[in-house]
Amino acid sequence: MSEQSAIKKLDVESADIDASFPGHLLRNARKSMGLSKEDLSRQLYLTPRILEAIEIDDFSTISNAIFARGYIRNYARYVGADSDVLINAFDHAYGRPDHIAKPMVTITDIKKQASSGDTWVRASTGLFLVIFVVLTLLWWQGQNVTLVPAAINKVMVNDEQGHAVVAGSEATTASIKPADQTLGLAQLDTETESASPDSTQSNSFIEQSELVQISESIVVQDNNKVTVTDQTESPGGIDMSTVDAVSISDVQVSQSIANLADVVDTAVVQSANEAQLLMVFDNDCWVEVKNGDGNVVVASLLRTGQTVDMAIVAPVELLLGRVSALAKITFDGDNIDLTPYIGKDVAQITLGK
Amino acid sequence: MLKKIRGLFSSDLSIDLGTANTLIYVRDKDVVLNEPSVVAIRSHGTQKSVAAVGRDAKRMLGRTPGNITAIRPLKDGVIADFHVTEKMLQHFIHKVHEHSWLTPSPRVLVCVPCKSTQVERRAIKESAMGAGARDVFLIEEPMAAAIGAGLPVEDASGSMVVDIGGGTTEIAIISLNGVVYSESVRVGGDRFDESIVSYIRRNYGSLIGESTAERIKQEIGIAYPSTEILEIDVRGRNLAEGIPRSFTLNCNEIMEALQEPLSSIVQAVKSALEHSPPELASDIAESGIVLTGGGALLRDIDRLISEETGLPVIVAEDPLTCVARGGGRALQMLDEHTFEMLAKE
Repeated sequence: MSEQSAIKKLDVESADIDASFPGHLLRNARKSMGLSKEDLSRQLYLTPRILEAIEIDDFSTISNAIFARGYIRNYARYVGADSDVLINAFDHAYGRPDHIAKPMVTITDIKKQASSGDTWVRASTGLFLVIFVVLTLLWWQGQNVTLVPAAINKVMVNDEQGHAVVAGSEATTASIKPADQTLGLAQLDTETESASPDSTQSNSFIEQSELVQISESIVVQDNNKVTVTDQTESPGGIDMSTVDAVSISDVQVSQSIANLADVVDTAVVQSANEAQLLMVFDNDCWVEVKNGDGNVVVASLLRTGQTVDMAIVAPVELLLGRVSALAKITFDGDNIDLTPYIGKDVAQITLGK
Repeated sequence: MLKKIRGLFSSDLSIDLGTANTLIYVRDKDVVLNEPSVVAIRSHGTQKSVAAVGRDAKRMLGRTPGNITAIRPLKDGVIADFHVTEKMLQHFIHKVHEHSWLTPSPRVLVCVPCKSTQVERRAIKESAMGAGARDVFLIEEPMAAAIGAGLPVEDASGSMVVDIGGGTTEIAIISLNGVVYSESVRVGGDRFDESIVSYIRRNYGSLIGESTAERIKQEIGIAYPSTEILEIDVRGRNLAEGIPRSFTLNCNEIMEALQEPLSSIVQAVKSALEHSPPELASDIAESGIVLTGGGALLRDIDRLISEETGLPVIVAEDPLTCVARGGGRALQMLDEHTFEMLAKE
């Protein structure tokens, strides 16, 4: 009867458990059962010290919370108390050990992982594809744009009256081969920027004079403007008098079309970081010119009497096969002293460092 | 290489590959799968296919037509049927990753009985690899159980854990992250069921199935005499008449039926205590024995062991999932801790 009342009392009081563990409830229950600490110790195989610790709420002598919880359960079960309530009180007072199982989560509770059928996965895949296609198109367009200047080369020729005549060629650098020396302006898509009645005449004249004769000797790369003037030779039978008649004063050559203008006395438009390089040869000489961008601008055998006059990005690296063949060399208007190279055949000169 | 990529989309798992139940703990989550270790195999002539796994397959146990066989691929804590175990693990790993759109390739920690042989451990490792794991680690069950129960395994004090599983009972004394002494007896929940079946056949002349025996054990099974009498109505086939008969069993009868397997466990516990070094035995006498595993849920089994050994015995919180949770914690420690807790192959 006393046991029953103890349980009842314990259940009633368990409702208002505060922050401390209600060990006194267990002690009361034990006493009401008429059990001494030693009696209970023999029943539960727990030392009286542990029972005392539980009853006075001093768990410092119990090393591990897991054991403390287990002892409380055993104690409560023996005296007929609700062990769950007491364990909750213990957790409330001392904290729940973190490794104790939480209620088992089921597979459906697991955060859903991405699947190929998800809308956002499909949307992001689609977006990625669109971005990829757009980037590919942009890249392709960029490739085309770089080809444009090479595709339409223009030669600006000022005729006698000062009218500008522009000859455009659809040929690319690659398509102009040294063998294609007969390439006349008839093949060029002629257009007149400032309309002139003489433009057609000028064209036909240039065609007649077969100006494109010495392209074999010039290799033009990049955007350097190269003018090679041949004053003595006209392999194709250039009639200088007719050239004079037209007095073409200005030819702007861009990229590969330079060979069209190499017999014409030209002036080259010079940009800010460019310098003027002039070389006059009185003998045959192999010349290789590399501009500041590291591109080889000229790599050819220049004949006696030929002149290289170009605007070029500094610094310039020159490789001359025969220094003695060089009659004159100026860079940016200054004469270059060739005395250190006297007696040598090959010279490597860097200009405009 | 591909496994590594797939591994990025897989969670690390700790698997308690038990004779009765397989539990899977997912790292940073919790135990997410608790399914019976049963596979139903359908035969088409010489070809075989998996008909059901887990709970569905367990329902088929003892109720299958001729072309379906419901089997338990693990026996006494070790693999009895390698290929079926592999299929079962594959199914469970996929089930845990069922929302993933890549074939999972997780790192897996599997618990093995401490007395399992090298061949048995190799078989468990191979079957986990075959099920798609990219790395397999093994840990001894009592060690995992002790970690899962929250015992101070890293302390220089002895802790004794008794893990009563489906096929085996593992007893170990643990100190400083290592197993000082371990004992394994091939007695567990299955043996309890078998004992109940044979008791009823002997005393009631009726035959009941394993599932019914398990239900009896769970509902009225008791290990120590109690004043409270529990009863259950059971239907079984009467052997003499050949027709189903109903009869009532009480908990004291079941306790009598369980005497033999229970005494084996008690003997093993006593043997372990006998072999423990005196310092550790003193620690255990002070703090007590911790019970884990499904067998610890048998009513008053702690009382029985306590009375038999004279030591305090406590049942761990949620004893069924202790091993899986302990494996999970070991898995978390794997990256930052030493590997000394892991079992050697």
